[in-house]
Amino acid sequence: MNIAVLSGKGGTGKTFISTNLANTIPNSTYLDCDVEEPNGRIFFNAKDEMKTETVYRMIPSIDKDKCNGCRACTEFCQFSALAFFGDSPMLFPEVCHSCGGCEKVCPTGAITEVKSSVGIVEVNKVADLKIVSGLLNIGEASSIPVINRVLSEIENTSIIDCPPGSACSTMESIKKADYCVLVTEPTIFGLHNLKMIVELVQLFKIPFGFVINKVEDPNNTMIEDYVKTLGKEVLIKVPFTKEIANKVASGMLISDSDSDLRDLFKSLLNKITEEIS
Amino acid sequence: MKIAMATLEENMETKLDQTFGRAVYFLIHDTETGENKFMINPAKDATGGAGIKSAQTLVDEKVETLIVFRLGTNAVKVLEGGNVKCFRAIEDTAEANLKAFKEGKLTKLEDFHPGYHHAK
Ligand code: SF4
Ligand code: SF4
Repeated sequence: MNIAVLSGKGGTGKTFISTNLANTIPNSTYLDCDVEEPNGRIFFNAKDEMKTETVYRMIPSIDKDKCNGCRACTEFCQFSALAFFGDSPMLFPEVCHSCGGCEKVCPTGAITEVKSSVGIVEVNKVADLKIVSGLLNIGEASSIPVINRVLSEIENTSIIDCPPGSACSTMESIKKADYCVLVTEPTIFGLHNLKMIVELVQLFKIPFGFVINKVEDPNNTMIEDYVKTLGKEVLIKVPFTKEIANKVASGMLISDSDSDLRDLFKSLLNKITEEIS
Repeated sequence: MKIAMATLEENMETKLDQTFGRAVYFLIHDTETGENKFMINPAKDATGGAGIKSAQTLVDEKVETLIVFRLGTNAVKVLEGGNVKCFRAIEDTAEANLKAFKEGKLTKLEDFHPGYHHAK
């Protein structure tokens, strides 16, 4: 079973929920698809890297000697990743979407595709847990190849920590999910962002449920009221206390030391399992 | 010599566009003939790489000088490759910018911002 954990924006505690959920499931896999800022691994104390692998994508390489200056490639590229000056094209790799089209339209064979590094994937093992993190190179525009490589490590019960928001990297991260957990804070901004990811998961027709994080005021039912309009119940509500905040800030997994919260995360898995079985 | 500016309207009293890659019009002034030509920027609705495409348009038009507020790093690379010199625009009309340039009152543009990407 693959459970994706999403949030409408950064800072809602999506990684907090995903890491602790994975931590309470035996033999689970934690996959960090938030490849621009993969910090889930920090909480697992994953010191020994089991293996690291570079992820590549293909980009065009231009042989100026073979180029006849016809501009077929620059005209073809809908992303304007090729500019033409002097007597041959020049590539802007950050803008290139690796579609391979320019190679096909070049009449002289001046363009060949070459490997270009986009990031790395790290796989660690801590006790019975497998921890997979993708890390995108700085300045790289598309995180898709790295996310796909991370997802290829899916095994047993997998918890997928998705990039925040509802961009295409988020869509890519949930494509193998059997269930989506939407994490939000009980605030107006939280609600607004939540509605956007609800639209996203509805579009993908993946079953989903809600976790409210950082609950301080039990009388604040803003999120519950919205969830009810969808005919659903909130899965769990995670309290906000100074103690929790301090432990999270120091890189600790709360489910290791707090048995109430451990039970809460276990109940989250049970509720999800019930819903999709 | 051809001098280009990104403009909001098709006349010499127009203000300049604050952006380059997504500007609606380009004014190209020919110092030899005194002619002012306005063209729609083909990159204004581009899927990506708008700065590159806009810069390419100017390079293809054989522009040698660009008067502009700001440029992305990708546009700069194309403009440099095409030997286009860039000067910082002033908050005034196209006409006034042209005059200021001819009087040597504009400074060279040196700080650039990295391009904005989607897919984040
Ligand atoms: S591979 Fe596709 S996106 Fe990249 S430069 Fe060629 S045509 Fe453009
Ligand atoms: S299509 Fe090939 S030959 Fe034509 S400009 Fe591009 S690289 Fe050169």
